Amino acid sequence: MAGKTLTIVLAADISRLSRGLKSAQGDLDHFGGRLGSLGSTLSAALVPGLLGAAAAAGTLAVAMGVQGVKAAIAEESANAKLSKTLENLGFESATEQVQGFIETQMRATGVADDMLRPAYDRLIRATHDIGAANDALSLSMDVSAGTGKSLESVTNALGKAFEGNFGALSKLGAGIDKATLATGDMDLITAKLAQTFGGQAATQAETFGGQLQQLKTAGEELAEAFGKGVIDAFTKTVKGSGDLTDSLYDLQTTAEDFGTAIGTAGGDLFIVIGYVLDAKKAFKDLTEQGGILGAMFTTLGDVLGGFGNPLGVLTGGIQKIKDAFNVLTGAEAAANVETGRASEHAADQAKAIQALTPEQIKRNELTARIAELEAAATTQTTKNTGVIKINTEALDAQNKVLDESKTKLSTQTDALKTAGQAYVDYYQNLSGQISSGIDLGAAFAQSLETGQPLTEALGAQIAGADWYGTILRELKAANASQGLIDAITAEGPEAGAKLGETIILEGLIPTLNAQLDYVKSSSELTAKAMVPAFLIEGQNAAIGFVQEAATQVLKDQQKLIKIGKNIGKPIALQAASEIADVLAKAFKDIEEAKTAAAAAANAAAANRRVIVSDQQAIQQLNQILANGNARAGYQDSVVIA
Amino acid sequence: MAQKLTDAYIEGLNEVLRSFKALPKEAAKELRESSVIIAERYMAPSWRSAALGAGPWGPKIADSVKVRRDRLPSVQIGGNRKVFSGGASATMVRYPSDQGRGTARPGRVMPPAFGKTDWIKEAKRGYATEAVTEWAKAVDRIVLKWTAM
Repeated sequence: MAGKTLTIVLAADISRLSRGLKSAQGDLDHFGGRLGSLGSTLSAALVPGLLGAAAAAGTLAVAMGVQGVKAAIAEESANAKLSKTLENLGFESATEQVQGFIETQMRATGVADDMLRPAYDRLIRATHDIGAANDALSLSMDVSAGTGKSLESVTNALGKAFEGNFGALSKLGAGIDKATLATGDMDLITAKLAQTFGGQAATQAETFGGQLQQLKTAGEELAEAFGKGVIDAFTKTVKGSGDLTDSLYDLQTTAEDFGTAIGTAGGDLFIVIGYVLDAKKAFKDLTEQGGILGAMFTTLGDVLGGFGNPLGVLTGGIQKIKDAFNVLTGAEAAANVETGRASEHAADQAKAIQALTPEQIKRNELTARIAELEAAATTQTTKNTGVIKINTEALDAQNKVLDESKTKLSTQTDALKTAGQAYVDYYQNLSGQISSGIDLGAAFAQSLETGQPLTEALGAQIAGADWYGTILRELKAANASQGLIDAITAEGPEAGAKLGETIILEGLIPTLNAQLDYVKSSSELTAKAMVPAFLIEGQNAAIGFVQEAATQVLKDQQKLIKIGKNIGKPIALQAASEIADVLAKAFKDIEEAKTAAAAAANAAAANRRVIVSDQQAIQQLNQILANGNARAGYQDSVVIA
Repeated sequence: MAQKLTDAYIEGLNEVLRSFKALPKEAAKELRESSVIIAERYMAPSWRSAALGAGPWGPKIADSVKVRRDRLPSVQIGGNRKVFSGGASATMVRYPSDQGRGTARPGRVMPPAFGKTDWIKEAKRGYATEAVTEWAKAVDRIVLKWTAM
């Protein structure tokens, strides 16, 4: 058989206790009905007290010894006071009637007699009429229940009104207009109040709170009865010593010890005693188990009837009560005390929580805001994922284009550099071919070959150079062109001298001037035509590449635009920029090469070097040389590599 | 038959517990952990000790006292696992061992071995003050911690 486990929870909300109490109240009502079947007389006599004891079990258990006695004393005092008032007012004979009325009111409404007696005392002094005082007390209880004001304040106000002072009644907030008050007609005023508040006390008494109040009041009465018995018995015990104060002192100590014991038995209840729900169960036990109920009645009989030995009552009778109400011990009194502590604690907690509330609200707001941002971020991230994907594809495509462009640019740049280098090499080679002069090596070789001293060989070169210089001056004097002079000097001093001499002797200067000018011009044109050909080729290639690259970039950009993002634009611009930089550098290199070539050409010109590259000019020169050699007996030719 | 007993009642407790919903789940988790510690320290020893007063059934019932993992310190007594040689579980003997035979259900005859011990009623529940105080401190600490974060 599977069953449910028992759970013990350290704490629960006070609202659960209220539900438990309500349930307990239902059980108590049922309990009262059950008792009725056991014997109406006994039930009528004891049930109120028993019920009161149930609800005020803590009062009975913890404070019965002290508070009960004190309550009995207070009640005795109030009784005496009211009796004296009635006596003074001439209503001594009505004392019992008045006490009965108060008792009835107390039982009907749950308002304690220690409140009703002073109230009645105040009203009888004002009205000097038993019937009027009775009505006024009932009315006061209705007004008190209806307005929430204390019965004392209401009866004071009503008493003053009966005495002709309506100020307090007007301030009571009972809804009596000034015109009504101004009449001073108490019949009218009380009728008005009755119309407004009639039945409030009865209604209040029927509520759960009212019924609890009745139970409490009944319990207090039981305590008073208990206290009265204690006093009576104790007074008998001390045998007229009259020192009630000392007796009570001793009684209080004993009762407190007992209360401590009860508290210990009931547990160290901190917030609110949790045994209240157990009380419900205990009452069920009472209703279901005649043995316990019988023991209870026995105990109550002892308490209410047997006060011959008050200490015995305390240590024995009350102990029996304690046993009977075992679970209930200390419940309400301790609950009241601990509820106060709990309330304070809860209030502190509530304050702390309230103090935290702004922070919590702020935190909640921030949390909500963060959640919104996170949701938005999630949505945006989803969108961005697609965008990033597109952008990544675009970027990859553009990078590919850029890489291809860079590769092409690099290739073209290399081609341009090669072209420039070829131009320089060509010119330098050409320049080297036309360079010549006094050749110390040749002089040395000649010296070795012929045995001629080097100085003589060199001297012969110098002499030849002198003669060669003479020839050159003659040529210059004969208006030989610079091209002709350069052509002659290109052959070196010896051959040049012979060549110059021949030219001079045969009067060829004008003809050769024209021929060489033509050759020079032609060679220069040829050289220049050849050199720019590299440049033009490079430039054309570069231009073609640029056009191709631009076309490709535009094409790619269109493709990127089709992808939907302008990301291609900056990349294309970047590519174009890089291309432009590379081309600019390439052109700069070309310009530098061109400048260098020009400088080299100038240098060659300064050295009287002639650039000969035209085959025709070579042939003519060979012919001239052949003619000169034929006349001079030499055989030589000009070779241009 | 009562299935739940409460040691103390606190005004505003529900609001306090509800306020944890505004905090991260880790806060409630910490509260459960603190509650387990408190229940282990205060409640379980007391109830195990009380269960030993259940006569011959006591040790098995005491063994069945377990701390529950809840936001409030709590223990459960009983279990449906068969722990007695006759096949009875701790839950099956819990009530009769407390209230005596024949009281579990009207007309039901329990073995004569069961006597009224009131061990549940006799349990020392004086731990409530200290346990609730400690639990309240744990709440303060956790709330302050998680509201400051």
